Amino acid sequence: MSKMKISKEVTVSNRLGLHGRPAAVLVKMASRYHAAIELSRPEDPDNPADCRSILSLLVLAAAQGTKLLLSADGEDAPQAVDEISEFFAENFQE
Amino acid sequence: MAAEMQNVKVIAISPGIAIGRVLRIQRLNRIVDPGEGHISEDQIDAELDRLRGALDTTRKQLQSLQSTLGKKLSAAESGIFDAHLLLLEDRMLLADIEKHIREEKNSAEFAVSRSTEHFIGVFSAIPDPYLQERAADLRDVTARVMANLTEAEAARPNIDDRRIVIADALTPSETVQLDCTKVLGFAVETGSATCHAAILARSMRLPAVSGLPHEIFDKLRSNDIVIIDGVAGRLIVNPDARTEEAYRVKAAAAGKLIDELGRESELCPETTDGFKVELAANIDAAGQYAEANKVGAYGIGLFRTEFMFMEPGKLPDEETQYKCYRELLIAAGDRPVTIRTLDVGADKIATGVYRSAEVNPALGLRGLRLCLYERRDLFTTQLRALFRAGVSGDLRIMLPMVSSTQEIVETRELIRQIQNQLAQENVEFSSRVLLGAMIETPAAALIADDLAEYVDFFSIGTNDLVQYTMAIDRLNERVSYLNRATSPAVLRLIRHCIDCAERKGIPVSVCGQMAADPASALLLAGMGVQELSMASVSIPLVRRAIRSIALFDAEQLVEKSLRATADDEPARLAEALLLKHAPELVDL
Repeated sequence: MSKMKISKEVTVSNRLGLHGRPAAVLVKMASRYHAAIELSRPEDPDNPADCRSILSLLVLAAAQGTKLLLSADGEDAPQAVDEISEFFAENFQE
Repeated sequence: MAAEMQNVKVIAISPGIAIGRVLRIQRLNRIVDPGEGHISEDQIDAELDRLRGALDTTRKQLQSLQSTLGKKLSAAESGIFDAHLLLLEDRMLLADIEKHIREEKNSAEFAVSRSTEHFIGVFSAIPDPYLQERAADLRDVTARVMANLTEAEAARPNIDDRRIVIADALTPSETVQLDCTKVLGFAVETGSATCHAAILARSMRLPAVSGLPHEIFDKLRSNDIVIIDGVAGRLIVNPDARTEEAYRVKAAAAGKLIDELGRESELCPETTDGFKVELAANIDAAGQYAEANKVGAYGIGLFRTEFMFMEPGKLPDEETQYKCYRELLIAAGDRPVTIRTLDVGADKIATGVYRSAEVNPALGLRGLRLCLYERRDLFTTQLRALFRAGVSGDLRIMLPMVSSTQEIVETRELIRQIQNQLAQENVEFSSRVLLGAMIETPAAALIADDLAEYVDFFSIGTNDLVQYTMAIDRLNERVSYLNRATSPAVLRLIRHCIDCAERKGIPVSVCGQMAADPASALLLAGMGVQELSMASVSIPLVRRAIRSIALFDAEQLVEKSLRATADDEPARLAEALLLKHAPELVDL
């Protein structure tokens, strides 16, 4: 199966930003995929956060309104990007 | 440490006396001396192995703790372990620690310490209450890893005889981990009587003190003999024979008294002249009813439902709540059960309930305010579950953090809508459930006569009433001298509230820490309070106190106390009365 890398811009739209609870959910979500999944700030593409690390997500300190680049690299990247961007679109279900 | 006896004043956080040898636990922020934290090139692999070993041991300890304690802990307490396991496996944290070892040739201890401090520093720069909690979790979990790396002093599972744990601080999970069969009690440098560790210590019946001076902590070594007096708030290092003997006699007498009181659970809690004060229990899980019943509690005076809402990222739905309330009501049979609606905020931040962070949560949207004006969805779900469960017993609903009649009017309107809805859906519900207001703010106490028009009962929550009346942060040790429920200001508010309730013909109960103190309970009885609600463990003591006096004496005490001008005078008068009629309860 071919490897693929997919990116998509997502926006943190809930009031509290990407705080502890959604970060923990993201870690669990990302751990279900084989693809490497990262979130980065467009202005700082060289320091992406690893979606499987809660600390790394929290350190992003993404407040409400922050735009992030979601990227996944691996065979199940499309599904991963779909599920995670959906989670962002739903305001982290808050 | 020198063999000379030292007797220092500390803060009592959990009653009882413990005498024994010291087990010293020191936490990571001081355990590592950076000067000694460097290793040579050829030690790197061994150091990484040691780190992995410690991580592995920690993971196993956490998993086994979680499974053995699983049933004893509330969802919130159990959630602590989930968060810890997640952090323990965190890739970024582990990569950072390994980087310190590989690239900077740090010892495993030093590397763990540096990474921990780094992330805590990052967290503390972000104003999110959830993150502050994670910072505490991170400290807790890495302290555990550290303990596994340095077997020397932190060999907690191998305590060969019962010891007194001396620590700079204990986290909730460390407190829970203290094995009662091996630990006699503990003394810590920081932590107040209302901190989580203190609450757990009291529920585990371990004597404990805090405010241990740093010089003493620094000099104490494992195997030094100490006495902790969790009543008078004293710590005695290397006691002389006479002091030790005196404390042994006292401890033995206390143990005997507890046994004796345990056999009085059937006796009626009334004064010698027949004034009856019902003693109910405070609980925070339906499963705790059995313990309340064992000590002869007259039902439940306060069921704190917020613990159900503290599981991270998961809020209890109507069915889950309905089952829980129903289970409790069935267990209680015809005895009354007072359930408090969701009371989060201030010191009890439930993640997932708050929609916005607050700078000053104690004065913010908490309790009924949050339920009415921000999370009406949660409030509606909870009220539906309560009214449905109400058919299974004698349910009373109590509203926390009331400060205006408008809030009660709006709650009544919401209840009316909910009941109409339930009727339309053909769902069975009780329409006889009583509705009460908690009196926790000076505002509520001052307008008690108006509030009494809208509710069926009052329950005075003294912990918050003291905090808001005296304008003190309960967790701030520097103003703890003002933290007393027997202050004349607080007593006068309580008196006013009781007078209003009597005039309007509604009952008053008291459910704060004040009700659990035998001497203060005499004051409350003297003011005519007919129901006190407290932790089950306190019921036998308060029963004995009430049974030992005449109502007349208690009324005299109240009269003198209300005229008192010195802040500590009512407490002294109440202690003196208790000393006269039930000396065995003083200093227990």
